[in-house]
Amino acid sequence: MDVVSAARSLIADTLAFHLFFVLFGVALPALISGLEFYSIKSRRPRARELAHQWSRALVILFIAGAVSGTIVSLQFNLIWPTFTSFAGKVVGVSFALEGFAFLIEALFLTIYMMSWQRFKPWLHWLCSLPIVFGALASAFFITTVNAWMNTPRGFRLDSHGSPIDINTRQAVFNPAAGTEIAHSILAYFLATSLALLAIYAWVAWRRNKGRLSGDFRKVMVGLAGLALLFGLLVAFTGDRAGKFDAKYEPHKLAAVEGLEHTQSGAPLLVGGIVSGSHIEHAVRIPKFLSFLATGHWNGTVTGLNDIPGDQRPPVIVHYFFDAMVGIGSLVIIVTFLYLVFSKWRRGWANSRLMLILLVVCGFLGILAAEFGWMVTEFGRQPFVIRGVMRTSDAVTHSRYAIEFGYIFPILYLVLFVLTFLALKKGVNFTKVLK
Amino acid sequence: MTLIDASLFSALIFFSLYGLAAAVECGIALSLLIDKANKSAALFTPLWELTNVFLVFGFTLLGMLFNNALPVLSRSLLSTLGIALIALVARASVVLTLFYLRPKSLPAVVLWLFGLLNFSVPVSFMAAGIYLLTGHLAWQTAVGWILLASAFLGLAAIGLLFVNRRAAKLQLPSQLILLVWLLFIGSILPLSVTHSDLHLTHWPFLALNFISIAGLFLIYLRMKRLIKLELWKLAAAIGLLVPFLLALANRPYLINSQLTLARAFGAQSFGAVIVAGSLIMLPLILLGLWLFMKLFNNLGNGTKEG
Repeated sequence: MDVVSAARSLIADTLAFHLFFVLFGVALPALISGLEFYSIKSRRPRARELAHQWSRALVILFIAGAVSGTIVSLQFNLIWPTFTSFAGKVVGVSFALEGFAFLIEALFLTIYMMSWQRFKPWLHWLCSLPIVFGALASAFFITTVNAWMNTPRGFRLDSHGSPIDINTRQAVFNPAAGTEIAHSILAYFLATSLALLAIYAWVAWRRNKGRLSGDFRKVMVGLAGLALLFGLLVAFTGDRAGKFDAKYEPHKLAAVEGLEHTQSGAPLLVGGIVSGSHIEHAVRIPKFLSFLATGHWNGTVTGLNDIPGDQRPPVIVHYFFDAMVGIGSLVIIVTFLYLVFSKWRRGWANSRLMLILLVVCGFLGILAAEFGWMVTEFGRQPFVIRGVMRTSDAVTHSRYAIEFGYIFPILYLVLFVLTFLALKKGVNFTKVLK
Repeated sequence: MTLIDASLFSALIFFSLYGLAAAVECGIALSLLIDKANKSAALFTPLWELTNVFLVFGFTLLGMLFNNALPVLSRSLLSTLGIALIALVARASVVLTLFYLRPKSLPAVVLWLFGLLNFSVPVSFMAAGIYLLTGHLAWQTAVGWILLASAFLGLAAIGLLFVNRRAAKLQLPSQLILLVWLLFIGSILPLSVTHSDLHLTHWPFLALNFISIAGLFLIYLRMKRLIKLELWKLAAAIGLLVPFLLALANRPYLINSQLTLARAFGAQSFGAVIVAGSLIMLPLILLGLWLFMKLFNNLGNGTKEG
């Protein structure tokens, strides 16, 4: 393995591992805070105890999340120094603000956890607000950096290729920021709601094959409702992201759809097998890509032929995109059916098949978030900053990166298993539910 | 104070806070090793992961503000800081095992590993700091070794004194380590720097000398029960001060004799915003830490995590 491949593999492993915990770290505080607020407002102590249990899960997930976040930060600086040096000059403020937000989140999480029985309920709930703010703000700022990597703005290059005339506001609020932030944060909420729902579905399935208490059902219906809402919002922002790509990142859309030639009335390819820059055996939906990308059935969509050969992303990104969209569609259908059945066909809602589907959706929601991130990253290749810096130019020259490329996946695997075991032992999700 | 100095000052604040928190972790790990039934185990929760947040924030500030130094630092320090990265993940695994999975029988090697990993992270980062201070990897020079030993002693002294501030059992060894640490930073370190060819300003080392003498005198008075002084506070104050004095000694360099602070600084367009933001945020962080300490003080006798 050469240094570039090792560094790519290392950062990919680290980010994939980190993202798993990030999505809970971003969404879970808001869900916990909401549940605690509801419990105080409606005087339901059991809902508060449920929020307490969820917060215990948050802390365990936070351990791995904080550690992997620390490693991400250090790896950016040490393994990708040319990138970080360049990006630091233009969007360094986003990195720093993300750090601020993370600091607030961590500090108040500590206080929040230590004060469940020491503060009055309202004061304790107030302590959750900085955690929610910190989690959302850190996700916001770090996503502005990723968006800037896709649509770099707010600087000019001098004759040595260094950024000058830096406009931080333009850089941070770059064209991709809006769609990317909305789409990713909503996806984290979707994945977290689905994961929680999957846990209760699993317990329900194991416990009594459908005979559930009122509280238990209420929690499941609430989570399914949230998942459906976030699923629809993710679909809407995904559509906006597709239209954005057609305008600002046509190379990514062309690779995602394996569109070889620029054309009007372009078909949407679903499934298929990627072979080089072709997609074979796919289901073709005539003109649908044009409609999705431009809003017109005969709109023109840029193909790979209009992108220089050495700047094309790998078409393999088509798999990730299809998987993400497929999962998104599936979870919307499943949660919708669950809600309908819960209202009118309770037996069907609690059937073994439905509960298994909900459990599967819990896993798939997390996978979809990972696939979405892969679409973004693979779709930008071979650049790390689109059109400005190639990935191969951004990497360190130190050969230690190769050894780390082998060591870290093993360490992550161990930490992942231990986190799972700690969650299993340390958190009783159904303690207060009859 | 120039923007560049203020930038370095901001990053150092967070590194110093990290150093203190890491020292407490090291103290807990050592106490567990010496006495398995030590109550400090009850003080420890993974909520101390806050420590890593200070670290990541200090490092982010340093990386973003002095971004021109990153290619050099990456080339020179990847191996040194790689140890810290590995130790971070491994430590998190051990933390989960010790404090959440809590197996019925625990081999002693796990506690030793916990101690080793707790020291590995901050010592690796201090080794990176030594590279900045000397321009050489920590193990390549005598000054580097002395600084490494000082770092180790400082972590142990502050940590043990804090964790055992109410327990009599480990008071004496903690005080002895503090004495040795003060001798190191007050005499051996300044002497070795004076006899090296490093381009370091000497007055900060002289200041360290005076601080150490004052510290030794206070320890003597405390031992004679002439004054009331919590030694952990003295050790923590010195621990907080040392990074600033060493950075002053290194001025105008970021990496001694190789890269000046001015050339390393690359945040002209937003540096002031970040520095001002850090300083504005500081009272909130200190308020949070104060609250944290108030709650933490009760944990040893009560429940964990509420």
